[in-house]
Amino acid sequence: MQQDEGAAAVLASARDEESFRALVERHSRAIFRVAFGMTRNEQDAEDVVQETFMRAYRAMAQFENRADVGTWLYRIGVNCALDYLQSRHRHAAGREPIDSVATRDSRALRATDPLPDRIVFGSEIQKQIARSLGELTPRERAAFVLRHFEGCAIEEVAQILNVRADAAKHTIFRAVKKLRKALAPVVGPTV
Amino acid sequence: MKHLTEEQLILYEYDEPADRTAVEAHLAACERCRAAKGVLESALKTLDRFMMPDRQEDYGAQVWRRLAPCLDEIAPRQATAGALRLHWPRWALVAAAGVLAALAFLAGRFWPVQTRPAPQAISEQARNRVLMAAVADHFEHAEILLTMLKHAGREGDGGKIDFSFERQLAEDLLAGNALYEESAVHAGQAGLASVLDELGRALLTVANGPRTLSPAQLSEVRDQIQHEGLLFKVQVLESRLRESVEARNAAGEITD
Repeated sequence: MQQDEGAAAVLASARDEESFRALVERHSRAIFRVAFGMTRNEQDAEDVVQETFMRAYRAMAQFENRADVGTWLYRIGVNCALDYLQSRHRHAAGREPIDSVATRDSRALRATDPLPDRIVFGSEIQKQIARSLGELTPRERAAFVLRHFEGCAIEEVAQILNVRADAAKHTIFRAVKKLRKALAPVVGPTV
Repeated sequence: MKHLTEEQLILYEYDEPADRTAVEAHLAACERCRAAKGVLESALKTLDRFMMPDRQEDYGAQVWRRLAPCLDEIAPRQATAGALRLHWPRWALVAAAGVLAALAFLAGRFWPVQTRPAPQAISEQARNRVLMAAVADHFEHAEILLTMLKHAGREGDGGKIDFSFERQLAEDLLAGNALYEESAVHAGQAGLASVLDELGRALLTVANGPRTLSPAQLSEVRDQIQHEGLLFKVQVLESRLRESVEARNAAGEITD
């Protein structure tokens, strides 16, 4: 997400619908990635994106003169996703996007594998990733996506999650360690 | 030889170590740590390749098409509250809101239990709708803040939590809250006044609190909110006010 916008300027201009549209078009993909990383379900992530911008629109007048609109949107997005997960937990306990899959095949994916095998193996990896993400808490998933996919510095992750930088750093450590361990069957263990 | 920790390797991957040169020197000399780095890189590349579903370049435009009709519904009340906040000095906003609130509540139009003197009924109705929309907006913004408080500093991160963001929001909401509460009291709307009072205390706690909170302090604030069911009450009242505004808008189309 772009970091070069002062929130005051962006939010001031975003009060008219055309400018808010530009804001939505610019930041939707980033919010989707965070939402998907946290919910692990595309439809849920779409809902979170929608709700994030609704909340942002409603709260525009309250959020003038803030430091960075990207950080602010991430923060709303993370809170929306947390609310969504809480609601999903209450109303549909056990609903997970990917079924439990045993890690039977621990071969490494090679570029020279025949195409059908590679497709099947790719699908297995995706299931394995879904399983490994399930071992992370929502906040760990958020911290990981923000750092790894969004390229947020640890300080910014801390701002978004409303924690100290040290806490954000350790949340990222926990997330990466869990993911690395969970993916060991397909990429190999730590030496 | 002391090997690199996994934390050091993670920071190196994310280009954030304080001692990058030392890490590079160690990696150049240590096959084991190079291998560990390779495994970590491989895991992260696997996640890069397989974790995220694709979204097209025009995804933002698609989101906008879904979002725009919903914004149309909330645009009028946003414009009212936003315009007031944007262009009026705070003292003027406070004074205007006070007059408006007092007029509306005292006229007994907030809930239909008072007598109804007829003079200038149309303009009072219009003012009343603006007031209710403003109070509903106030609750909506409070709801956002309360939700943020609810989720702040989770997972027992142990250290101080930066609360300057929420603190500023609470300050922004406090002045309006006091006015609305006073108006509700004058109008004999005890239920509304009670919720505004609870909200005011929560806002005051946050606004006057330190910029950073310990987990224990945060827990106190959160307990206060959850114990009193404040978020729920705010949501219910906001919903009732919105319904009331809509009903009065419908009636206004005939009488205005």
